[in-house]
Amino acid sequence: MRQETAVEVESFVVGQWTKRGSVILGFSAVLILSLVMALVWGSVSVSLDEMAAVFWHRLIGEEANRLQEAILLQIRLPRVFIAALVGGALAMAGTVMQALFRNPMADPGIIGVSSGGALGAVIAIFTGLAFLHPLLLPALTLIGATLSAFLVYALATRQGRTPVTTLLLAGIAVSSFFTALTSLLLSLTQNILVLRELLFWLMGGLDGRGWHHVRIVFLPVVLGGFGLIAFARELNLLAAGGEEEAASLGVEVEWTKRILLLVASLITGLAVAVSGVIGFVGLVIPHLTRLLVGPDHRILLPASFLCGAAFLILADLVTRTVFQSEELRLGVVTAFVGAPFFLYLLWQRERSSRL
Amino acid sequence: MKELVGLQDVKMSFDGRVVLEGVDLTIQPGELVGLIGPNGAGKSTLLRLIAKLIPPDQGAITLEGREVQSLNHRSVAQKVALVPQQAQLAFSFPVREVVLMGRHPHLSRFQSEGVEDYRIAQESMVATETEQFAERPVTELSGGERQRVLLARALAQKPRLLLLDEPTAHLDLKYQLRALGLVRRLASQGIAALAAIHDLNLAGRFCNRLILLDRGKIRVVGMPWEVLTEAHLEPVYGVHVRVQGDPNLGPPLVVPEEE
Repeated sequence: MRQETAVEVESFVVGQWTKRGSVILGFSAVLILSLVMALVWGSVSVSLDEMAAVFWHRLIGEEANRLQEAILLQIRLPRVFIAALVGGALAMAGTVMQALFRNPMADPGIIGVSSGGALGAVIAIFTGLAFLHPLLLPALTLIGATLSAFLVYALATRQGRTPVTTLLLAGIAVSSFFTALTSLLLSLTQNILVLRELLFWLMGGLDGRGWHHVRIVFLPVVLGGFGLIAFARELNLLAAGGEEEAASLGVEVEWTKRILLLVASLITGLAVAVSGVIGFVGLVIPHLTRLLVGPDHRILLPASFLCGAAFLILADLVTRTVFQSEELRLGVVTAFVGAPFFLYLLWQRERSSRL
Repeated sequence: MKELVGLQDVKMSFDGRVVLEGVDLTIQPGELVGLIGPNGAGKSTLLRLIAKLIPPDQGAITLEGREVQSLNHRSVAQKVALVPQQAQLAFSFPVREVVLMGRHPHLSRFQSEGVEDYRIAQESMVATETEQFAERPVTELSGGERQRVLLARALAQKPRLLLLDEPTAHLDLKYQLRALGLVRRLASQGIAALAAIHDLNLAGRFCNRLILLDRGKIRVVGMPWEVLTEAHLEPVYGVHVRVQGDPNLGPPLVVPEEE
């Protein structure tokens, strides 16, 4: 009898892992598919064969079609990489914030990272620093994001405790303040070209991003992502029962919260630094993924990364191909797709809660 | 036998309002201790202090001879499980996952639940009769069903001390008896349990010992027949009661009189 249940439980556990593995494989396949689509489509189309040829020649060190090689390796590939890393980072950070705040409306910028980053970037462009060196803009953005996150955290901390409700309110206050400063700088800008530059940046986009931008985000996002996954079980406990229940199950709540806020804010700040403010990815993708794979963060976190990455690659593909110009901004596309989808989710929720 | 939990002169206040004062208490393995007293007497605070969820203002709380404040949450959670009064469960985790969360203090960071953990979770669900909705989202359960899930999660922790805050509050008559019966059985197998219980008759029926708390102070400690008396209850609850029954035949029955 006892032997029999042991076998049953064992096959159940194996089944759980098979399920988890196939979910991740499925999402990876979607990501790879969108990656290939984004490489071959664009203002200049490259066929799959031609793409394979370019990569093959590159691999064996032979001369390939120069134009195609430049388009693929210098323009599209870094851009697709950044889209994937930014989308994945925002989706993971959003997932973490929603669990920590136990609030499905939480987004990666909830503790002021996005508005602080935006202010940093606007200062960089306004003062002309951004035009001195291509990395000064992301650097100032990251500084703004970091400062605002620390400011919000410090404001909300009393006697070593940081209640999430206080954190939420401090985040709203600091965000409004920084957004007001950003607006002030916008209204003070006389030069119409600079103003256009500012507005474009605030709407988010990936045009003109190259390998040096990939280098900024790659390691922190990958390491940060694995770091967050290492805390997946704590996130489950915090999301399911709240801080006191998590503590009673052995989680060092304040310490865990500090690490998670730090990592999630850092990767959000980096995302903002290389792509501008891109809304809705960090809010909608965690929701969507949770609907598809359930609330277990061990699966939810990697799945949101893959889903967010694929989503932003495709959204960026839309900005590049639909109007064939840079006038359609990435942040606009994500909001266009994201907002109605979000309303649909809310409507579904309403309906299911009435049943 | 050596004491499992000891409290010496514990004082606790929130924003200057004293909630507990001069509390001395020991709990031995094998006993089910009932914590009774009116609303606001400090029952939940006492449980939270022992679980290290809040630090005391003054006094010492020891677990197997060691100061609770010097232990980390993980080592406390390996020995102490708390069944909270209100289930604040959010996000639609399936019941089985919630019960498995009780294994958290026994797993290291990069370890996953193994076959043994699943088996313990399964046992806990069988004991609390929650296995029939193991795969259902916990957010869809009724209040009483959730309370049993939380009891299952606490059992999955394999604690030496079980703290229960109103474990029967949302349960129907049958499950009130089964839940407390289960806790008493576990106690007789060697763990200890401390349960805040409003229903004096249930408390008298299942507990080995009762503690009557009144405005933060222990009024009396003793066997049910010693504590549940008109002289003790009336001043504390401010209600006239009659205590019926025979100490030789069974537990006391407390009947409140109409005001």
